[in-house]
Amino acid sequence: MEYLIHLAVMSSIYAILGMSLNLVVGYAGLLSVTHAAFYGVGAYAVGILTVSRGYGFFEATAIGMVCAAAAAWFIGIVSGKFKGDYYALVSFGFNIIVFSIFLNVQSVTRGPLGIPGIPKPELFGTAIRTNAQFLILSIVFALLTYAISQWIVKSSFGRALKGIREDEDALRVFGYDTARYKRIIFMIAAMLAAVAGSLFASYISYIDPSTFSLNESIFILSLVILGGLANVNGSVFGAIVFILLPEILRFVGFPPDIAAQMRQVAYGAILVLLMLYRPQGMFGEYKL
Amino acid sequence: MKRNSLYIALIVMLLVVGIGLVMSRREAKVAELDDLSTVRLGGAFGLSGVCAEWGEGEKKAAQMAVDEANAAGGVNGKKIDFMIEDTQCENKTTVNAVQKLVNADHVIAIVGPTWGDAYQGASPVINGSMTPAVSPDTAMEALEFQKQSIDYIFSTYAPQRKEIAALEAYAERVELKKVAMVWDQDSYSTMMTRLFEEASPFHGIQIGEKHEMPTGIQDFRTVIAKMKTANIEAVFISFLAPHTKASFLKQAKELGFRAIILSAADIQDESVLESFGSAMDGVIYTYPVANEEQKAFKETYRAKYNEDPQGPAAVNAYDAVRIIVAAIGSGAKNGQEIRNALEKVRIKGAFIGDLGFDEKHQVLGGEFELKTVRNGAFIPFK
Repeated sequence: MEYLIHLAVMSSIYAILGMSLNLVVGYAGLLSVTHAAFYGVGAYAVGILTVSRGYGFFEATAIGMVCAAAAAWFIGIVSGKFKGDYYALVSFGFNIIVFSIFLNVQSVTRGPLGIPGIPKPELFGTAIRTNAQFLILSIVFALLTYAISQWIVKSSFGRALKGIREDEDALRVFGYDTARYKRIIFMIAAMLAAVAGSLFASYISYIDPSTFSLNESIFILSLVILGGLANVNGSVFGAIVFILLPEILRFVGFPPDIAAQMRQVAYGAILVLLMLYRPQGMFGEYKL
Repeated sequence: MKRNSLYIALIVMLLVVGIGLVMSRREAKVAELDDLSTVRLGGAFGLSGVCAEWGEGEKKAAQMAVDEANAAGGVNGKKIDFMIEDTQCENKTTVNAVQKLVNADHVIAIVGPTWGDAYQGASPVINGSMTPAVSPDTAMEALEFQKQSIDYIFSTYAPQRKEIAALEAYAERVELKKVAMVWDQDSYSTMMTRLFEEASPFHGIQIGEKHEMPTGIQDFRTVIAKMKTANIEAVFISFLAPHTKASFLKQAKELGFRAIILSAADIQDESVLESFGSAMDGVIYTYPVANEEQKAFKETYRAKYNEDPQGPAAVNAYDAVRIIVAAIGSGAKNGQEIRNALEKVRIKGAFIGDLGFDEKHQVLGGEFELKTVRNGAFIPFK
């Protein structure tokens, strides 16, 4: 059961990442490949502030969210000048920059050695120690993210985002400041990703730069596409599938000599098949 | 479809919260040997990803030790059931693999996980579940550097401080004054170079140049050219993958770089030697003094798998299984007792002759000798 709880915690963290990225990619139509950077900002904020500065988890998370929003604001200003494939490339570049900061500013981030011993959160003086307790916390954050995402997509702001996605020029003609809309949703998504990062850091208790590389951004984008673009439920589904599928494959009796490799092949093949039969993702309302 | 999926998501979340609440009131189940018909031993190796070069050989060597133990009647009359999981050489997936071994398979002990950086996320799971884990390739100094708890964690890998001391003693003996360091940005290499730098003043060594390279880089020509002009007498290299070391050596030769190249034991990798051959000639490294057990290990491995032991830590994985089996054989019945037994038990090891653990859970004793590569063979350095 502990193992299942662990997987549920990981699924809820990735559900937060998926829902937040879907706001940018699915609703605003911005192909961002930099989400792991904001995820890392949240994780490093909690890692650094709780271990070295004695901050509590929730204070550190709030600071991480502000840092992620500030980074997103800056990135948004620069990347706002680009569209489509070029936007993806610029966001790709930002992920590499942030990753390099994690790796090279060793006096702050401890570089490749990473930050170990990150404490578990405390709520009203009680430490959240067991995985089951942590699951409740992560589910609460996932539900909050779900509610925020649903509220955004159903609001006039969300409708404007969809409009930007479909025809940005038309919205500009109607007087919308589309660049501002894109910047705001990018900042909101970054803040939510930072929450996921802070949960991850506190749960695993050790972070290093490799967790927040470009590969991780691609992984998060993949789960959003598999779940379905412009559908919040789809991102939850995608996160659960992406976390559970490789673990389910651990129980499949492949020949021991090639089991690890076969699992990877099977994992890839299942994703290819899903994309072949549901190119818009499982619950997608929009196709890239 | 949309509304249905929303309901499903809510039901799943409520269900999970409910289960969580129930489980938070329960104690975690600790595996007891008396309750099991077989000895469930876990193996957490990097079988895919960047450390697969190490993991595959470790898995085979560990399997060989398990087969040998089972052929000899098992341990305390019970067969060993060896359950292997792939850590993918990453922090997150290592945690998943260890969680499965500990909480789904209820193993009594683990061989692995492998690699210091991937290891560290899993260490709280290991300590929390009181499941002893003997890693074949984790430098305990990495955990010490990080002030991580080593309670249930052991390693059969070479003590890095001892290795570095042997290398620097050699440098002092031949009066090498100006030494450079080249390493890649991973936690193991960072730790190794820090240890090297830390000990260098005691051996009269001045660190001339330091080059930290991105992990996975294979082109060192610029760095080598720079060191060549700086009249560096020796270079200490530490890279994540053994074949990266071989690439460095090959390029150093191509560019006519004549400085002495120093390395740790992980360069002694038969499969890398097979690929790079004489390109590795001349490197000086430390390795535990060879013993009869190691020769027997290599021969048995070749006979069983029809190949040389793959990766630098295959022999350490073999020893890890054997020392766990010895600890269980001494009468230990659960994780806590196996941990206590591991602190006392001594076996004739294949990597280090008299194998046991010190208070830091690192292999005891072991004399290191200097070795080199000449004419495509690993030989003692005279």
